[in-house]
Amino acid sequence: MRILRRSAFVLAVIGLAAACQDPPAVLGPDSGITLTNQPGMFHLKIHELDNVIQDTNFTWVSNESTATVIHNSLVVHGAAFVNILDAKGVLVSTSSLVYEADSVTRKGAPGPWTIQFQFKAATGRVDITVQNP
Amino acid sequence: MRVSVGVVLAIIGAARCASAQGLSLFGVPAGVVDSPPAFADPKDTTTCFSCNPPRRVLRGFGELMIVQMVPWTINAVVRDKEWARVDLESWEENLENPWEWDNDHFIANQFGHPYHGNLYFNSARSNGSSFWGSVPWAYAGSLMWEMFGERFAPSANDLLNTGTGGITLGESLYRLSNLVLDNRARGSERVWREIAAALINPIHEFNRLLDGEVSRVGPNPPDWRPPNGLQGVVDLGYRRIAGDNSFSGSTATDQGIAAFRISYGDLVKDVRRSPFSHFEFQGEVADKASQGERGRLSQLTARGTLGGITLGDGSKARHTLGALLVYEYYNNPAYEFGGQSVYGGLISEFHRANDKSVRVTTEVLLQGIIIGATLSDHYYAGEGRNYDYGIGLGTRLRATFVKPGRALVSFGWGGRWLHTMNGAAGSQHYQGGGVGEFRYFVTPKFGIGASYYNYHRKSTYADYPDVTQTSPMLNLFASAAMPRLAR
Repeated sequence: MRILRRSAFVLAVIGLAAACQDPPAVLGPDSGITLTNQPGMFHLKIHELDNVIQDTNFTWVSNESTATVIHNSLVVHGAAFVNILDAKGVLVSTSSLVYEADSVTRKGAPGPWTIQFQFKAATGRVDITVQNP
Repeated sequence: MRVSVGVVLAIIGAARCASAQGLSLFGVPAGVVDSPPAFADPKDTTTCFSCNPPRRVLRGFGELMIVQMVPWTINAVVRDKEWARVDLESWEENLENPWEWDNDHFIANQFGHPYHGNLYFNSARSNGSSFWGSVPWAYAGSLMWEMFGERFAPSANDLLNTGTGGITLGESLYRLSNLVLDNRARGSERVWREIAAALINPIHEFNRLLDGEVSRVGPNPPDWRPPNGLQGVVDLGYRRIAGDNSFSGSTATDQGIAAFRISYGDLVKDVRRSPFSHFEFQGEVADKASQGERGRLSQLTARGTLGGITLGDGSKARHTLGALLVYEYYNNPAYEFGGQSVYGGLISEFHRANDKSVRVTTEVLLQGIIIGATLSDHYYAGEGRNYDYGIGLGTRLRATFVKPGRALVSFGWGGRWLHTMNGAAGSQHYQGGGVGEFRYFVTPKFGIGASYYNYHRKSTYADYPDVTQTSPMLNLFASAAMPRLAR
């Protein structure tokens, strides 16, 4: 019985704390955004995500048919995804923003590519590089 | 991996060490019990220093913290991992934000977490707590790590796998470490026994070091040895996994395998006793080339009894309604499943009146999957997760014929349904198949065997076509019984 009471107390504390979750936000000046977007090289850093719910797109010029995606993000709560579409609008890469991982896109048409970010109640930071090999 | 190999070797040694036990082929006692002078009166703590250890909550908590601090220090300080740099802010975030599902690799979530849960469990179990008294420690240790040990959101799959898997592995390894230990031993034998126990259960051995028990000589507690027999077996062999339902052709996979299996106590006789009075502990490694990125560990399972009631006990048959706690880790080229389950149902034994030269045991069990993970055809997370998580139901039907000391024939069917809660949207997985096994011991020490598993899977997805897979597996192996079988 004592164990049950203690467990109920712990769960109540966790429940109360969960009720204090930060309100949803969008990217803004406080997010600390640094963007490098030039042909062959795309680099986005967002220093602070705090429960961000937002979709945002960038157009980037890919000189080649493939690109390397270098992840160094840390999204500790919620989820964040990156989708990359080639010049014809074909999806060549989809992934969550993760910590320390590299990948290569599928082959696509060179030219203006679309890099889509989806933030779903994401908390943490973003550091992603997309570059031609 | 080196530690894992050491643990496996130590566990195999455990079977060898129980030399004074009634020997059997998978839990059938041969009628020999440990000689009385080996055991002490459990109430006599003056002579039996390992009997009735006091419940040391503070020491247990300290050891739990050490278990938390070691991996945290390695990641935060040595490896400089940002996710391990916790502070008051990260603790607040973890308390405030919703729980999520962890996306780590299969081996990390389905083996690494339960192994750590075993250490949490043994922080209490090796400090005088009962089985049930140690259960909350496995979950509390996991909760502590999820909330305060890393910056990532706490996850339900980690809590359930660490807690529940920690209990199953923890009690199995606790009993196996006791099996290795012998307080009567001296000299080099004693040293090797203590080293083996440390590899199997480092928390338990740490406490023996603190209490000065590693070198003291005295009788063994009676509960260090199973009352109804013990059998270990090591198999070395070959497996062919059919690709596209065909054993021939280029899609089939060949594997070299090494496996061990320990049956502690007797399923039918011990299911009504204290938890894990009977358990089975199995492991298997396969060659690296065929396993690829899965890692060499292709199987680790533990299933222990939780309790039961006798429905009938006659001269020719015994029927028991029993419950078991089960940890499963399968990761081979045919399939991937890991999870924590409770099994319950009818366990029976049949034999001729006054003649146990052949014994038949049957299991008709229903499986409740508390948390299960299985390969997904369509889910992939960047962190490496390629499997769906869910809850489900299953069944295990099995009949085993044993001629003690000589042969075993077993066949049955098992299946499970997993309803995905996180992973590929709207997916369901149905998997299982018929299984058969044959073992024959040419001598009391060595034997041969074969087993067959007709694995089949059907996965349905909300957004994709159904996927069906049939991958029969054939194993051929040579076996060594440890200790040797009594005939």
